[in-house]
Amino acid sequence: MHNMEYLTQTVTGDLMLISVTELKERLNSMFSNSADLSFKEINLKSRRHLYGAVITVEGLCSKDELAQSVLNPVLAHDFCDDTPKQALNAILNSVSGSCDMTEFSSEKELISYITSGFAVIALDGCEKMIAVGVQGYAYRGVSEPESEVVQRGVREGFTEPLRVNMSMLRRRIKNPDLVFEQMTVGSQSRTQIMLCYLQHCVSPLLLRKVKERLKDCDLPTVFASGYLSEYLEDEKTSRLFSGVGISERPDTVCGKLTEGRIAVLVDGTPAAMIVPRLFVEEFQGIDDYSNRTYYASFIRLIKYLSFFIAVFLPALYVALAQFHPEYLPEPILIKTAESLSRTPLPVMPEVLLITFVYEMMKEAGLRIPKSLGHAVSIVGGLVVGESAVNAGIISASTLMVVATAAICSYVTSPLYPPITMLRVIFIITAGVAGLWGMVLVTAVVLISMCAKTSLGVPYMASLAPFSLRTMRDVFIRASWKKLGKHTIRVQKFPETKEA
Amino acid sequence: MEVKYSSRRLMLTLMLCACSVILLQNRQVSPRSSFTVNLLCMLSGLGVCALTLLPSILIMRRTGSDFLTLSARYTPKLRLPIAVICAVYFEYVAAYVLLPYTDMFCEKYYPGVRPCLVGLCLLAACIYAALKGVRIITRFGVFLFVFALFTNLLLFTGNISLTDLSNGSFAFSADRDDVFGAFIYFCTPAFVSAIYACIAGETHSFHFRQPLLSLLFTAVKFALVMFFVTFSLGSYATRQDYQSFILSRTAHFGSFAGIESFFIALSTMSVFMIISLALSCMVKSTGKKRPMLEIVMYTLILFVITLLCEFSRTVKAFFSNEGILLGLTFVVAVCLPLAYCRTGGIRREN
Repeated sequence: MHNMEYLTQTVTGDLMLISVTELKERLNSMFSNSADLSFKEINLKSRRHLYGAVITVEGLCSKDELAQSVLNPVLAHDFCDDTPKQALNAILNSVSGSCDMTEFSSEKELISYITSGFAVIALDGCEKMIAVGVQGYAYRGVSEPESEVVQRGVREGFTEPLRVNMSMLRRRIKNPDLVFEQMTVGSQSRTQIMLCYLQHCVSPLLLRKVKERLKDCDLPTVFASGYLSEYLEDEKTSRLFSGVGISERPDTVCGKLTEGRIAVLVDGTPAAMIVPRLFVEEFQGIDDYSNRTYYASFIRLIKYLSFFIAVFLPALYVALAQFHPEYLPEPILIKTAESLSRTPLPVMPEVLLITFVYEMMKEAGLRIPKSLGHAVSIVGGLVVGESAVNAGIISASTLMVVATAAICSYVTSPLYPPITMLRVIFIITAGVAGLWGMVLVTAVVLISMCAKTSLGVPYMASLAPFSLRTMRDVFIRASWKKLGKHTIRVQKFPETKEA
Repeated sequence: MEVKYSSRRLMLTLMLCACSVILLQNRQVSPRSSFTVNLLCMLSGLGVCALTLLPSILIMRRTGSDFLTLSARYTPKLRLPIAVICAVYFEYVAAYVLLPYTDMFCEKYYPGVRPCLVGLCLLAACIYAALKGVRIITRFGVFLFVFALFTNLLLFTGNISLTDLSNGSFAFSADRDDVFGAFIYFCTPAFVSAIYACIAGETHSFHFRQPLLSLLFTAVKFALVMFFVTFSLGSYATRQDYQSFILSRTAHFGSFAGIESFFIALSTMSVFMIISLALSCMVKSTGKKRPMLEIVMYTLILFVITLLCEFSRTVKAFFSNEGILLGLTFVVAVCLPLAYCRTGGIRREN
């Protein structure tokens, strides 16, 4: 017998004070009778014939966990003369074996819990419900991050579930200072995001800014961290370079947290966003801190050199070949001139053409199945490369220059998008105005970079504005004895102080 | 450990090392006066520059601000006349810096290109920089400073192999007209004092050694240029315009030449920085918060001046006159700051 007489009065707001049957109808209406909504009705062992339901979304819960933590103990327990409220308290405090249980009463929370993989227990005649953590959906296991491979160091990368990523951070920083602050973004997707910071390291001003900007996010859906990164960027600054760092590695994120930065984890994204981000950080890798000081410093300098080659080499080649061939040493000049004279296109369109073909091949290589990757490599290497040179469509020197720049652009892979855009801009400028044009555009780009800020901190900080104290981890990496003695935290920058 | 930016302290150094390149573009080292005499002229000229810095240093030490800020605060009624004086002066400075640059560029580097076209491209870039403000331009100055050091290193070491001490003389021989001309010429960096007088308030971490270091840096650079022009280029240089450009063209390391491209790059960035700062000073004197219109207007005037100079020698001579520049500099860098020296009390702001 279903005790409909236990219905209590409905109160204002979205509180759930309806019978289980009505609740079922309401949920079915809300979910449009969705097939994955499971509404298991249960009769409790009780003299009062307590009746209730366990609500879940199929595929998000572990059936074993549901049976062990919820159904078996609840159905086996004798509630005697308990009222629905007393029965619910008993389930919460003694009956269920789960340690992840929460009491709630609003419809909004109900939707949030069941779509997050919780099992919700509702009893007829009781205004409150219980959410039990029985999440058990399939997800990709922890694996080595592909975009941040290291020679030495941990092989663990973030994965999609938020809680797993949080645990990876907590395991590394066993300190109550580490705070996780939950927020929800996306009016439709209701995506959970987690702000992570070290309480005593973070600048309150920066933390407030991050919270405000995330609250301002009015997107209906947030499926990846990239959706939010634009909201974390400062207004009216150049968008060529990103003021938001991305890392797939928990050890990198922990390192950044100890420097006073704030990480944002997004549920369903195997990467953390880190703010503020500085230009010099793009050249720092986690391997730098594992290697010997002299080698780490050498690699740092190589990275800076690669950045310059990736951006400027093709444009420099165009400017020299087109406007200043006299600057080239004689043997190179003769070979370059000979090679260029056999091709149909002028040097600037030729360099642009090869650059675009390379970008197309790169995109194709990224999207096609791995089994076809070799085929693309062969077609790219043999047909576009060797055959085009032999046929006299492109010159060997041009191909070599573009290939060198392309390889160098991967040395600092986080900077790949701006490098590519700058390369194209500089090639066009060099073709139109030679070295002088390049200098002028460089000046404008530098001004734009100097004007960029990340949460108010100058993006080019350490270099411009110049700070000698921070130089120990810019072009070179000082020894751990020096680095460890005084960690330079973001909150030590003047821009992070409250006015 | 707090992070402190020392770049603001470097600001004047950067400006001076930048402008020294430009100033040398149209400087002819006369063969009638010896190297020693030229050196003394240069030191006296820079001494005058140091004196023009004193009023703004005094204001800075007393109030932590600059005379433009003080005038806006204490004499708001005088804003218009001061803005007019600043506009006239900085237009003159910008034209004084731009004209020799475009001439040198079109005569020596890209023959056949029209100076006004070069000026137009450069001014378009300056509008962008001026819109970003003084602080951003000074940050850019850090990169310029490093590039200036690198280029100067190439310029001077590349000329060492050509040095022959018999090309010139260390004796104390001088021509009176040459000495006066050289002295006046080496006073022209004083326009940096005027820029400093307007924007010193932006540098919160001021120290007196800042201008001293700047002057020292400039003196060393001027001396080196004069040394190499006298002893490396010798009599060849005296028949040529733009001696410092020729110095960069003759510099080489074996078969590696083309250092004039570095020199042109340095000159371009230096002119870019100085004009951008001049535009910023003009805008600051008007006190507008959204200066887009003003910046474009001032730049258009500058472009018109460039155009006029291309067609009229009289106009060009007017905008290349060291005497007028020094007179105006005296007004903006000395007279106006002195008038505000006693205003604002002795409390240190910021």
